Amino acid sequence: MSQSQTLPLKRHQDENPRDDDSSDIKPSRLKISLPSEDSDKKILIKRVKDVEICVPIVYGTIAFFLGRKASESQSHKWTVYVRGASNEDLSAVVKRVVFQLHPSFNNPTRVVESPPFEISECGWGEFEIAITLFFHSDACEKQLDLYHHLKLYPEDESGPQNTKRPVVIESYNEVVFPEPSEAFLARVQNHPAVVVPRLPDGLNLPSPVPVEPMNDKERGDTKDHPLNHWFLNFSEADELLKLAAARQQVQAHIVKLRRQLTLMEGLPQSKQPSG
Amino acid sequence: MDVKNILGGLPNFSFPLQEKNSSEVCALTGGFAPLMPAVDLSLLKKKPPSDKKVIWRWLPFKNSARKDDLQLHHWIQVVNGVPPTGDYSFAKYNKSVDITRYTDEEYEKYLANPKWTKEETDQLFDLCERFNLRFIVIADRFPSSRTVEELKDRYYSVSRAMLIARNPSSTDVAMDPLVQEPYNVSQEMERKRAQSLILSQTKQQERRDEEVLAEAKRIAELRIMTKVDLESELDVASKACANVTERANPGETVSPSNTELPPIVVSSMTSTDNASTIASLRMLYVYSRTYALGQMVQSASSSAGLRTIKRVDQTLQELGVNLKPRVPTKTVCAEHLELRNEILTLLNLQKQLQNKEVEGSSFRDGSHCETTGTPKRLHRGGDQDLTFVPDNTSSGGERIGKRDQKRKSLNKFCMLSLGGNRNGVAICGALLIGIVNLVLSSSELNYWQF
Repeated sequence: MSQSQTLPLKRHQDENPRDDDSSDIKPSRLKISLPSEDSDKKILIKRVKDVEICVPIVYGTIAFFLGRKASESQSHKWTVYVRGASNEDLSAVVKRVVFQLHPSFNNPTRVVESPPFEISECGWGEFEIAITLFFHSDACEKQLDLYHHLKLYPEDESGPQNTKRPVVIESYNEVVFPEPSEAFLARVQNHPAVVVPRLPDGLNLPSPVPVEPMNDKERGDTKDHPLNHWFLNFSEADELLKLAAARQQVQAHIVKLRRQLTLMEGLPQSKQPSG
Repeated sequence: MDVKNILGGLPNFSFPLQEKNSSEVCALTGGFAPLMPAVDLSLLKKKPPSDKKVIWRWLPFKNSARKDDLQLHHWIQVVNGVPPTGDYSFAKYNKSVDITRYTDEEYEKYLANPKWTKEETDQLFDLCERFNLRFIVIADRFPSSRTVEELKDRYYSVSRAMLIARNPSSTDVAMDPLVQEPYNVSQEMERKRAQSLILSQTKQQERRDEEVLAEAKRIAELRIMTKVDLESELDVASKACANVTERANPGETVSPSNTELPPIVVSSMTSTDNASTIASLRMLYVYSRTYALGQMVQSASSSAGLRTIKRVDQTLQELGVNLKPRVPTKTVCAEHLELRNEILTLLNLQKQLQNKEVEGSSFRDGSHCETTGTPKRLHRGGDQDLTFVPDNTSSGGERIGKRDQKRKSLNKFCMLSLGGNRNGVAICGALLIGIVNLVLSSSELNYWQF
């Protein structure tokens, strides 16, 4: 994997005509890096430092018990998927998703090239599914691997399973692109599925180039997904609250201990066993 | 014989006696004959009859290495009547060096040198041939006084020049060591000087040199060790994160996908704190937030022992915080890390306090709590602690109760000791109040399992 190199700004002036007042861009903001696998082309990609693109995703499984239609080998119908955390379209970032199922399945390597990125299957067993995300070339050449354990049977084994209530296991995660390329940033900076921080002033991005065939036959978001009422809600507010409360407690305790320590520090030296 | 008498006559054992007095021997071996070696040793020394008849004869011989026809005699083995054939066995050791001689034209063309006359060069080459390039002898025999290095230099440069001149385009010549490694006079002189210096060193000097070298080696090793430690810590931190996969726990999985990169990248860093982890994360083109959090946690706890890490986790659980955040957004992860760091600080402080207490306890052996106004004070201290206990833990209530009891019993103890040791009240009351307070609070801390 090739490392990034910093080159002087002047080198690529010709590629991006800039005005005079944007010459105050600090040279350190832009970096040149070589794509990892393009050894023969050696295209220089301009990356933006200190800006990190974050794509919140949720991935998981929903499993329905088939009830009367269940058989020995097919007792549950389940779906494994990757969606945007707010149900937005991920296809702007994700080129394709590969789900690696248990080898007992036919064609266990399932490739999904367009949203919704999901696979539905019938089966009876629980196993670990490997989910690999491939991104568009301007975003990242490298893939990202995630793992999810398929759960078919509910936690509390109270009575027969309900065909109406599925077992839903979802995980929240964020895909982070630490130094996105200018092209990528330009393309997605206003996309709802992507979280882009406030861009530094004076950053001049090229005009966005739409990436490989856009899927306009269907919507890529999951806002009207048939299963979307089972989707879990992930709000950071609860977690933040709990964390803040915990931190407060710990801080208070620390203060107390510090006080005690300083008190103690003054004592033993002066104390002499007297009469 | 005497044994037989003692035993009143031995029973019917017929010992195959081969030696005198062997009845005792037989008795020792349990009534059986002693073991004999399978092979007779005297037979081993005998040689098998060979078919060769060898005699020694005083015969003349000729040496092909000699230029004259001198005939000498020597004793030689004659096998089966056939004297040895072939050349004198030592003739093959008569080797000499091939010295290429130059012609006069060659000399004029390539080999002229201001410092050497043709005559001298001729003489040199004659001597070289005669003495097989033994330059010490040649230098000794050389008519005008020249150093060994000068002679060598002249000889080798002439040979080299001739070789190149005679084979201008040949590649074999290029491989010849004469061409590839020309004689370097100054280097040789320096080398010989250094050699003589070393050889003439006294024992003391030798010892001193050894000491200096050992010291230098130690310093170098130390430096390498610290560098390797740092690198290996980093490696371990990143690799350990790569191995963390709680896959049995649905919904809380870590994705160590880009792990082939971090060990390579991280080893170029020189510190293990957050900054380096952040930098190493930046080197990845993409990573998941949970992975990043895992890395940061690893690097933060890299200096702490396993027990401390467990205690941190325990504390988090007691505070009602997920060990791995359910919604790992950027802010949540940052807060989580801060909380972990604060807990680490807390644990350190506790440890310090404990140590101080242990120190102080040796002082306190002689004097117990001998104060008057203690009970109220203690109670107040306890109240402060009450608010700290997390409300949602059901066991909290029990703990408080136990703490109260402890305090009460200690109070009683104080009162008792007061009665017994009135003269001890002379000791500064404020000091003791402080100490007792601390004793109680720190013991309370111990109670609250961290």
